[in-house]
Amino acid sequence: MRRRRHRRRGRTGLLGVVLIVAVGFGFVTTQAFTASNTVPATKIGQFTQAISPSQLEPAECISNGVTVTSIVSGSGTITATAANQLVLGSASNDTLNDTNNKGNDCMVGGAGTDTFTGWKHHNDLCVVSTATQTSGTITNCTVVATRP
Amino acid sequence: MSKRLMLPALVLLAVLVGAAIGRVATAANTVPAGHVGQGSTATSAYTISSVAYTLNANNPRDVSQVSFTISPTTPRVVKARLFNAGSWYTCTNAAGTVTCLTTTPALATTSAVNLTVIATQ
Repeated sequence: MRRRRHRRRGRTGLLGVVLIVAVGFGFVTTQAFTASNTVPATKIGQFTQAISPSQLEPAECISNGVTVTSIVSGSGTITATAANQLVLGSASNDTLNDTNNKGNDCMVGGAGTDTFTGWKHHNDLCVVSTATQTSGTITNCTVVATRP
Repeated sequence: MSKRLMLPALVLLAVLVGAAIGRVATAANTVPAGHVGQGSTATSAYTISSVAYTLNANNPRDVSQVSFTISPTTPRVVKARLFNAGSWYTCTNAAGTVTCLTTTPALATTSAVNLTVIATQ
C-alpha cells in the first residue's frame, strides 16, 4: 500500500512539474512572438518661417541694390507709400508711381501696357512687360527685367 | 477519457493557459502618451532651406509658386501654406528639390506672411 501511495505521489509530482513547464513554455512562446513585433521608423516634420517682403521681391531688384521692407499692390494706379517698397501691378494696364518721394522702390507691372514713374534722384527699379517696353511709358526708373 | 489521453490533454491545456497568461501580460503593456507639435527647423525631422518665391509674371499681385530644398530628401508627402489658416498646397519633390504651385486657389502676394511646410515619409 505504501509503495503504491509513493508511486502515485511521485507521478503526481512529475505531472505537476510537466504542467508548470508547459505553462512556462506557452508563456515564453507568446512573449517571443510579441517581442518580434517591429514598428518601422518614420519621419514627420513641420517647418514654420515668417515671410519677409524681400523674400517675395524679384531677385533683379535685390541684385541692383533695392531690398524692400513692405509691399503695396493693386490695379489701376498704384503709388508707393513707403521707402523701399515692392510696388505690384496687375495683368491689366497699370500706372505705378514713386511720385511721393518715398525712396528706392521695386516696381513690378505684370502684363499689360503700363506706365512707370519713378523719382528722379532715387534708385527706382522696374520689372516691365514686353508690351510696356514697346509702347508703355517708363520715366526715372531703371528696367532690371522684362516679364512677361 | 482514457488515462493515456489525459496527460497530453493536460499538457496542451497547460500550454494554452501559459499562452493566455502571456497574451494578457502583453496586452497590459502601455505606450506612454507621445507629443507632437509645431516645431522650428531645429526640432523638425526635416530641414528646409533655400526657400524661394515666384510672383505670377502676368499678375504679380499673386504668388505662383514656392520652392525649397528639403533634407532628408525622401519625404513622400509635402504640403505648404503661406499664411496661417490658409489653403494647403500640394508640393512635388524631385530628389529633395520641392516645388509647390500656389495658383489654385490664387494666393495674394500681400497675404504671404508665414510659410508652413509639413512633410511625412
